[in-house]
Amino acid sequence: MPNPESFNSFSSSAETGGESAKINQARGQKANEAFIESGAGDSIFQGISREEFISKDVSKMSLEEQRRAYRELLEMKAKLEQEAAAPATPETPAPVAREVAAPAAETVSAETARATLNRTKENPQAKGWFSKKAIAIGLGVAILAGATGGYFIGHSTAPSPDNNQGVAEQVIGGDENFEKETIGIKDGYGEKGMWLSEKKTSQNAFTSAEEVAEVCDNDECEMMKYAADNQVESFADYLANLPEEEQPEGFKGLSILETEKKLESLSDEEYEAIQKQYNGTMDRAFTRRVTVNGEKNNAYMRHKGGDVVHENMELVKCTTNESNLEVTEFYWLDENGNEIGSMMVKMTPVYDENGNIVGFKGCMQVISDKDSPVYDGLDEIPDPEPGTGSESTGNEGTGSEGTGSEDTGSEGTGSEGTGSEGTGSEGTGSEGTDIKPKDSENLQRIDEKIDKEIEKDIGTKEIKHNPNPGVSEKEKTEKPSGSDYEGTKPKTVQNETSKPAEKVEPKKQENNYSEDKGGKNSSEYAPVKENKEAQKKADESETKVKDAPTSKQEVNDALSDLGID
Amino acid sequence: MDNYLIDRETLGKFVDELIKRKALPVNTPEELNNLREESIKSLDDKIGLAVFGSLTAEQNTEFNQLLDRGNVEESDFENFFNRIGLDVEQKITDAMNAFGAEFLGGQNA
Repeated sequence: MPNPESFNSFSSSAETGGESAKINQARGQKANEAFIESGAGDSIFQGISREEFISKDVSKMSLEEQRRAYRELLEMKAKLEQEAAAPATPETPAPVAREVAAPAAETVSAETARATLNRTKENPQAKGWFSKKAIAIGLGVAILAGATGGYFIGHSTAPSPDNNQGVAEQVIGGDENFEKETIGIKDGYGEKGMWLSEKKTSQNAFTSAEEVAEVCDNDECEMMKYAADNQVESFADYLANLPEEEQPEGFKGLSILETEKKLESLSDEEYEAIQKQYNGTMDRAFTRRVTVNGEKNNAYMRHKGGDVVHENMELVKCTTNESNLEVTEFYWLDENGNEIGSMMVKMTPVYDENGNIVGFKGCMQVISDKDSPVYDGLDEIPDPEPGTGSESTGNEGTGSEGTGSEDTGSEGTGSEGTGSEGTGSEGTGSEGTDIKPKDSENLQRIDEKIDKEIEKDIGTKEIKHNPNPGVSEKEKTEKPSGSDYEGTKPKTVQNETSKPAEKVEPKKQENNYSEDKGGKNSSEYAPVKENKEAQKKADESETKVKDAPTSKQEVNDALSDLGID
Repeated sequence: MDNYLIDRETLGKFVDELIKRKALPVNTPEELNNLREESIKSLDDKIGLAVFGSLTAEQNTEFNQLLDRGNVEESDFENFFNRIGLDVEQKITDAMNAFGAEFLGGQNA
């Protein structure tokens, strides 16, 4: 800042006496008068004398005065520099400041400075040193209270809106007033810096689905867990929009705002427990692509100002008008395979030329029906991107996989509402929904579509889609590997005292009725003796079958021949 | 690949803060990204020129000799700027403040 007193002083190099000194003095006085007459300093000194201004306690100035003063001082300085560069004429005497100030060593030209700068950029040690200097300053930002564009760095805390005094200290000089500490920004709100992502489509977005997808390797469920883990507002949005069956106890039926407040009230242990439960819910989720049209509700993030910390971030409601927006719908099934409910999130897959999912885009907010009560209590903001229809994927050739356009029959059935109850949404929400599990007419197309998606989605894991809904982790057992599995073995009983089997001798038959062994009643048991004669006679009299007697008389005659009455 | 005097990530954070505070004349993410990149480069330039534009010819020559040394360390730069009495942190601060003010449309707009 030029010293106002210098306007009335002599250059140290001026002669103290003689004609030159008188000329210099005259020039100085004339310069002062010219300056005053020009009114360059009028605004600064408006209403007060220069002496009064110099002596005035800057800290007691109003904020507006200080701003004005600082701006005008800068302008004055720039003007003086310009005039110093211009050739002096009798009509426009050179500023006294040039004459009176001791000549400083000339600095290098802009070209020379740039050349040195470029060389320095090639030196790693130099770059490292300069970077450390920049970080040491503290890259937090302090915004002037109430200012629309005022900006300063270096102060450790943002001034409160009512603290004009504190702000004034920042405005006017006073390097000593700047505390060189980093303002509490954690990489742009949340450890992973989600909110400050340069790839976000709008300032109000939770994050960039593209970046989250890169971290989570394009796994939708992991993306939802990641976003909730790094931004409590995202967590509240997701929890409040889950199907009630999947909401943790104590959070059922709450609005987004109520959910956020409740989360904030939890202890660390309780919070982690809720997170764990939520993560399990997301692990059990199935996913599908849904095309959305019409007015929908979203919860957006808004920065209220000041430091980018949780206290200065808030959720707001925004109604958007969607047109062919492809989103990801998460849905859950009960143990019988029936759909419990669903939740749509603005995460749109990005496909390569082969139809493989290679990423996602979107803001990762839940999108739901306009009349949903979960948005109660939130301030409302206008659509930051009105008329754009959000992220339509209609232009992407492979993007049409997820839309109703490929499914020629489903759009008609969808809009008519047949079988749409399975999607969990009705009215405009179901328009364009092309997969309706309960619509038997679409079953074939659903199967084909699922097969196609599995083929294309190289990274698809079965676990993500949970082929065993309703099966808890405890119940799951690990399938033995081929090398581990030994199959079943026959049971063997090993008796330590066993001996080789003894040879069993055949037992003698004690009773041989073919021998007459005598005995008390032996006469009653006539041994059967072989009688060849009788046998022969019987054989000869044997009647052939075809000659067998057929009448009673013939039978009697046959018996008589044998000597039998 | 662009080369920066200050660590690009550090510059990016600063620019991001500015972007948050001003409605920008951009319609697409690409435009926003381009604006961000240009702002980062511009900021880095301003800081560099603010520092090296403050050197005298003699000091500039000495600094270049420092760069030419094969075994220069960060402490050498610290010593150099301390010896010539140039407060580099202040220069960087001033440059960033000026950039911020210009970006947001005037220091006290």
